[in-house]
Amino acid sequence: MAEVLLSVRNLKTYFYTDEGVVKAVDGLSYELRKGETLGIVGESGSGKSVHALSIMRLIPQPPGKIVEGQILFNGTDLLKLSEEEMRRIRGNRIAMIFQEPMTSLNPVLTIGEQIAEAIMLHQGLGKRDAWDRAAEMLEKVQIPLARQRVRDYPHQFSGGMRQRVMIAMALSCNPSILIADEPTTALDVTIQAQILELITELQRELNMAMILITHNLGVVAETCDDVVVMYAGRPVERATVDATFTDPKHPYTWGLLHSVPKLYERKERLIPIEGQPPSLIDLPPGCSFAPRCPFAMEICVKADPPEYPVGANHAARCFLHSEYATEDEKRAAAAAGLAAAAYGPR
Amino acid sequence: MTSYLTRRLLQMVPLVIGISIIIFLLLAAAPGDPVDLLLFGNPHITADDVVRLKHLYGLDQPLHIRYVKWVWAALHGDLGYSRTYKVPVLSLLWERVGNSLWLQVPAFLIALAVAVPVGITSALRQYSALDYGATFFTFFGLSIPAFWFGIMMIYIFAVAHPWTALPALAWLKFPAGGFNSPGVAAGLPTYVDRVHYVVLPALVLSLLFMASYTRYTRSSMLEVIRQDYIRTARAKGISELTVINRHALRNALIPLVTIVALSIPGLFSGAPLTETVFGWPGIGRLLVDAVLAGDFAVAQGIILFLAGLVIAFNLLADVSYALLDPRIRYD
Repeated sequence: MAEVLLSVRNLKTYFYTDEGVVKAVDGLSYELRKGETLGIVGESGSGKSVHALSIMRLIPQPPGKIVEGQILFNGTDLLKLSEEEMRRIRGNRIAMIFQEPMTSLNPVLTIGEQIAEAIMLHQGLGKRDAWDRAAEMLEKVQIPLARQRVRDYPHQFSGGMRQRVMIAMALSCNPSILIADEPTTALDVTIQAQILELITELQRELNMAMILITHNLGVVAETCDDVVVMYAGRPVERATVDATFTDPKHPYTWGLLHSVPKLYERKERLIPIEGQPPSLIDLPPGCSFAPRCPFAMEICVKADPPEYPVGANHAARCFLHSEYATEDEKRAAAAAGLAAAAYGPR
Repeated sequence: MTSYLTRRLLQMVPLVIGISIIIFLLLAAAPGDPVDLLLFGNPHITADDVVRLKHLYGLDQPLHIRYVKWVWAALHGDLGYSRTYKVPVLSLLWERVGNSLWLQVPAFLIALAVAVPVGITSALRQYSALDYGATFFTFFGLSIPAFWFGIMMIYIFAVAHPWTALPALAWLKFPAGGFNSPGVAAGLPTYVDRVHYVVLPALVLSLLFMASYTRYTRSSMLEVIRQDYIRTARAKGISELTVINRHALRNALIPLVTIVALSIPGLFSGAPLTETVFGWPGIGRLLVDAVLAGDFAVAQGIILFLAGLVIAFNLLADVSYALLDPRIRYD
């Protein structure tokens, strides 16, 4: 296995609001290896994006604060770096692309200025060389007439083209990690596939590791090596992509798999996960998924489940895999897992 | 851009005609024509004199004829003759506009120089003590009447100034009003001397504009720093100073430039109170005096001038918008 590039340990990011403390990320741990793609999956508000901004240390503070944990990048804890040291990593060693290409580019600066800015800063190139490199990057992301288009403004590009520009900008300094926060969600379906293909192609070419944040399980199945499923700020299941889709262990993962529409097998209907995600301010004392979980046991509403190993590189935060579950309950769970796997995109 | 400018300039023609008609009709509709006012309380005037004077001023003719004559003369650079000052309106106007600029330009610069940095800092440190202080100050500026604030400033800096007992601060006092000290030599000494007279009225006049510019800068900046592209800029690893100066400020100043350009005519039309309190011979005070004295030729001239300013700065605002924001193109 390749060496570990990024190791997130027990990360907790809270927001201190007037209504109370929002525990947006509450104990997230994972490892990302060189060249690998890690998928972070979960519904809106599960803490996916906040975790990404935490790695970049771009959490607005106040109200946000990283209260606990470590983010080890090549062995250095990013949370212990000074702001200036962190700036040398941002956009240089770790780069990020965002969900909203329409609003993520500065409307009054040309594309070239915006790409060249990071190159001049991190690579120490002069203006002319940086602009050359910016044009090169635009060619790399397949923008036609790149040499002329560096002088254009963002409003002269379509949404898909702007996301290409964002990718060019993020990759311009050859980062070792790319964080892609729902990079295709805001785009037309036809463009989504193109952009995703472009990202994975460039990832291979540059031998970059990638954290892909998405709620699209199809995208995960296609691109990721490992998967972390998040719910209410916590990782509920961590596994390889194969295990996630063939042998899922957490009831929430099963629910996600059941909610994926499929083209060729006509399902009677989708089975949604009933109920709403909990408010992150007053989390119930037990498992945060228990109120929506069809397999909830007595223990689930009383105690918060720890992570149980359920296979090689596979862990689930669920009492179904503990001594608290009876043999019958375990059998029912195994059957439900297989049924969910059969529904999933693989 | 050229075709847009041409179009805009052509559009101004009917606008100016409309404005001139309204100005003319409003003043004509005011009770008492200049001759009535002239005769008021003068027992030696006969009915024959009235007829003769009305004929002399052309007041016996129908409105539309009088309007056409006024416009025709105005187009030839003749705005009429001031009855009270006994000089052509145009030369009076130019002199007073010059005086007004002595007050307006410093007031405008003071307002901008304070408002932009304060507004930006206020937005960047929202809900800090500085922000609350600035907010209090802007409401103070927006709600304090100029005549009261002017009188307070006169009392503090021209009459009381207790600190002048200290030799180091003896210089910190200003004249209560006026435009120049008597007997100052012409040329440069006049201008140097005038600076003392400008300080207080310029501060008073700038207060309102300072307050509203601060408010606009703050809200514009607040909106911009929450935008996604600011997050993108930060994610590039550039310093916070660059994020603010290069990415935020340029966006935040676009609406501000428009608002500032549109408010400049208000510096002229809003000055009469300040000019009256400080006895400043500017155009605002001239307008008030002219209306009160029934010197309609002067009043018409000034209002026309102010209307022209509004139109010109509207155009300037639109053009500057296009120059600053690449998304706006007039073609």
